[in-house]
Amino acid sequence: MQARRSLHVPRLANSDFSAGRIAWEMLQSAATLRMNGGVVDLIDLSDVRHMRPYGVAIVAAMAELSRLQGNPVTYLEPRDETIRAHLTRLGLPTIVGQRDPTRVTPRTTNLPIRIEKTRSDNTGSEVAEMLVRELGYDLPGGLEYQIAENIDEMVLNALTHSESEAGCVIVGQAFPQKSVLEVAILDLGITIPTHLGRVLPGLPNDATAIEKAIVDGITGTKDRNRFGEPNSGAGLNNLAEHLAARGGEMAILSGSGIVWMDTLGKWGRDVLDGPRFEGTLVNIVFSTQPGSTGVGPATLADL
Amino acid sequence: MELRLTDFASPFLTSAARAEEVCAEVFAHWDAEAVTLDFANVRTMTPSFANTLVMNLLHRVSLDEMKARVRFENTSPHIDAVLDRAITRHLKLGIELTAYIPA
Repeated sequence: MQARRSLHVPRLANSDFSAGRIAWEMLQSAATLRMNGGVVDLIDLSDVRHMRPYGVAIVAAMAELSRLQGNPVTYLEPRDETIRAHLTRLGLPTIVGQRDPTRVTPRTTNLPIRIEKTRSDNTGSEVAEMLVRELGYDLPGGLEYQIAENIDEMVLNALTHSESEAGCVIVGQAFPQKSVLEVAILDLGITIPTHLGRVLPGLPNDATAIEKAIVDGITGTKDRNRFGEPNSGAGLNNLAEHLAARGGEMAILSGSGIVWMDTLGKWGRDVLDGPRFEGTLVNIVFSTQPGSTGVGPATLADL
Repeated sequence: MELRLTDFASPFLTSAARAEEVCAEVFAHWDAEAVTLDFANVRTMTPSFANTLVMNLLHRVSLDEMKARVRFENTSPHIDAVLDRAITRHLKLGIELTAYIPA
């Protein structure tokens, strides 16, 4: 009998993505599954007590990939009631094909998991608006629009550059007490290093490729993207500048590389051992603190 | 000649393709008169849109000529900042649209 291809999410997964202590086990589990045929038939969240948006995004993307390949998924819900209800509100049971999801009281302030396959003008604004509603207070002038624009740019990257069969998964959550919005944007596509390697071959490792992609004006697009549009390599740089100016943080995982920036604008990087993650995960923590000025974009010169 | 940006897209300007359409309209009326780009009701404008709009214009005319012939009206402070950033990217950092970079 063939062993089940299980995506098991460990109990303590997702403790702190941005500081680099990523849920390696989960991502590498996903990477291993993809190397072995790209499908998963068991998603085991039974031990999970807490999941950050990027963890939910990985599960949703793997489930979507399996669905596209006609492979049914068995979903083991979290035993913990609180996280089970939270994931149900996000719509995860529906995405993994659970026939009889746990009934929970719906809220109008949860952003359901989004799987985008095509371009839309208002994805970023819809996501930002919903998350601000979840936050429970209005943002200072222009900030919601800036958040929306940065989300739109990351979704555009995922849809145009990655060639991801599973599309682009967006999961977000507001944390009112911390005054932050966390958004994970994930694709299971060709990775930043592969895309950038088309114009910058010979980069020493995947973390270096991610760092290059953050530099203003650097893009792997030649002439026009698959929607026929020109590119200027501004998206990641613009995001990093915004976050540095406001005390936000970000982490980008693509292939074997991970690059992150903390709330002080300090950059970190690592090259992972083990299976290469065939996809790109951009995890963003937008600060919504009124008057937050962060450390400014000067730290980008560190790259 | 006045072009309302929301006639090309929604209040959310995200698509570089739409920005190219705006530029094509601007240049179609270039010899006849000054062109006003009306940003009324525009809520967001991504760097992709702004860069394509601005860099397409500045690829063909100087900044002074652009300012003399193209008026940006009803812009919010936020939209002004995005446009300024696109101009800086092109003129000070030398960033160019990929469509103009030789293969």
